[in-house]
Amino acid sequence: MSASTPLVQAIDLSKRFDAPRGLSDWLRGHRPRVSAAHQLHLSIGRGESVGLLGESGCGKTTMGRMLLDLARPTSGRILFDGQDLAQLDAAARLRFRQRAQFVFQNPFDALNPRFALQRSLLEPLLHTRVPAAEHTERLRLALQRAQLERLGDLQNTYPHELSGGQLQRVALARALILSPEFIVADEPVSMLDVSVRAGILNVLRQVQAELGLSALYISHDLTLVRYLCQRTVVMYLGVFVEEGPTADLIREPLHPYTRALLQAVPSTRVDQSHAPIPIVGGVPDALKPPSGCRFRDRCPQANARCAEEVPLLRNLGSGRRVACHQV
Amino acid sequence: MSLLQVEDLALDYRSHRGTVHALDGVSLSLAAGQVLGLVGESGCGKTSLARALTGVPPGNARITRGRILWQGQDLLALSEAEHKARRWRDFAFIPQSAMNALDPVQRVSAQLMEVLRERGGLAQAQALAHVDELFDQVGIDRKRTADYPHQFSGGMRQRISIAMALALKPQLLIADEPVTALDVIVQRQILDLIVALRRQLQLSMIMVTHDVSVVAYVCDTVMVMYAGQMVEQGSVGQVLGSPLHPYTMGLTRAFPDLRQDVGTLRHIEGSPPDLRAPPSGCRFAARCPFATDTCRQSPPPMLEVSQGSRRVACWRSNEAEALRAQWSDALP
Repeated sequence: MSASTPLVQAIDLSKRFDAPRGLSDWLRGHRPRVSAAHQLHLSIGRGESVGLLGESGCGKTTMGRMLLDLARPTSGRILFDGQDLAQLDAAARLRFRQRAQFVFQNPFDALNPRFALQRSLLEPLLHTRVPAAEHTERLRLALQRAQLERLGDLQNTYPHELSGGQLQRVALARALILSPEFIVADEPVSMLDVSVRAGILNVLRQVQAELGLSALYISHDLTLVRYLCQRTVVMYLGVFVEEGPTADLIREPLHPYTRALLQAVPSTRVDQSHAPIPIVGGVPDALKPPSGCRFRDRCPQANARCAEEVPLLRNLGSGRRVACHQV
Repeated sequence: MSLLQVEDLALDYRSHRGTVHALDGVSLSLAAGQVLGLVGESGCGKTSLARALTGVPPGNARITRGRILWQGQDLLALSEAEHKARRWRDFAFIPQSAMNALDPVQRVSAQLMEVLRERGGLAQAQALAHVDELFDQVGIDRKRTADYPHQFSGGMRQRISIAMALALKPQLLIADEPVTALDVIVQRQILDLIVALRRQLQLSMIMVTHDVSVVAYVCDTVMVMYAGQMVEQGSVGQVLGSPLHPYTMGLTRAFPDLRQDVGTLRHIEGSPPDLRAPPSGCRFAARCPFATDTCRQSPPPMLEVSQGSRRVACWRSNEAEALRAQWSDALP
């Protein structure tokens, strides 16, 4: 594969989940389904970091899990380095699992409380064919990259002895020990105190630059995405509504939903605007998304066309795409 | 006279691993109509303080020193029954993740009615009418009063917990991390509701949060806490705009602001001290890039800056301006 092809490519990816069936659904032979991802296209280049931004329940975590082969898409394909994930044989799948890693949201749950840190950290190596002689060196490197050199005796330290920030670094070191080419990080700092968040963000930024990692950061936090990601995709109820270089998207958001997200973030400045955000209500029931544009019932600019016609993601040039009839 | 005044409050937790000195010599004063932010990282004592103020500290807590004056009357001297009579009426508490604290098998109207009837002594009809009013106040459709908690989204449940706190028209609302578990748009909607209610009802508030931007958005004054002590206090503009304490400098620098270019974020290395045996000098000294021998040996006194409206506990606060400039270079 040439260096110019993206490392990760999602083509027309959809995922539907069966929702719990109530009695009336059952009697009517009705199968309620939630469309967590609907015909999504995404590509992540080598060394590129992409932010996937959206509210709870919009399908962003499902998207991340599919890209790592932790959830099977209902339809569509995922290519990793040109290979279709659905068609990997056992050996190729094992190799893929070394090249792509997940960093979980909650560091307090990500490590086995009964394992000393050393065991948790080395665990990934045991499932691969990395020779035992290399383990120590790999561990040293991973700890150094996660800036954890001063942790002390790993064989006798357990997760409960560490702070949230340290735990998240351990979880990151564990993901890095296999020298992956691609990581998906799901809300990597949302469980952490503000004072330690900055430390983790800096580690992630540095690791990514040093190793030339491709990364997908899943978050509802615009400030994180802005700090770490070159490109940002905004997701709403299973569809992408806007995509573009992060700096441009923040400077000039085009989709009304992106504008609202941006406006909603309070500033640390006292002289900030208290102008009301232009959208009302909460995310609608994913079982019954509105017809046409899924955002239309919260959108200040919606008109008749938005109810009838699904807006497609249109290319606007310079890497920007938006799915809105009004733009 | 201030509405609420706390003088030299100290609180310990007894645990099987020793006594934790969670609060040590905290003082504050809140004027009627004011919104005070309590800010600091996990374990700094901000929740302990909020719970002590409402008179419902956890079972293993003991207040060892100090006074809490409500309109001049010492709350700590009250009997449990007298204290109970004031809760909900004079001051109400919205605990952390209150939205998950609603009883899942009771309709929300029944839960609100319980407060109104048992604690407020309202008759059935009056209470019912008041439930509707409360729903209007927090922006939820009246038709939904008879729904169960699981039928509401997280943001709406948080609105209901605010409605419950407002049920008996308290003068002071104490809210512990009211928007922490919420999505960014819902967060903003709840903050806007809080700002509106505060104006409309002339509420005084204490907001406990670790989020500096929440303080900047809703609070008038702020108290920064570290390891069970207050390190800096003043108006939000002064404290966040030109912090005097290195810890506050760190907190404001560690927070990425969407509308300003911050360059590389600076974080505070290390973690807070063990409060079973706090250090004898300044508690922040071990993490402070500017600490001197004096800092490590003796605790800094609380200094009043500009006629008592602003206070700081730092040996080097007179050099604050220079330290602020150095802050970025002082860290690795």
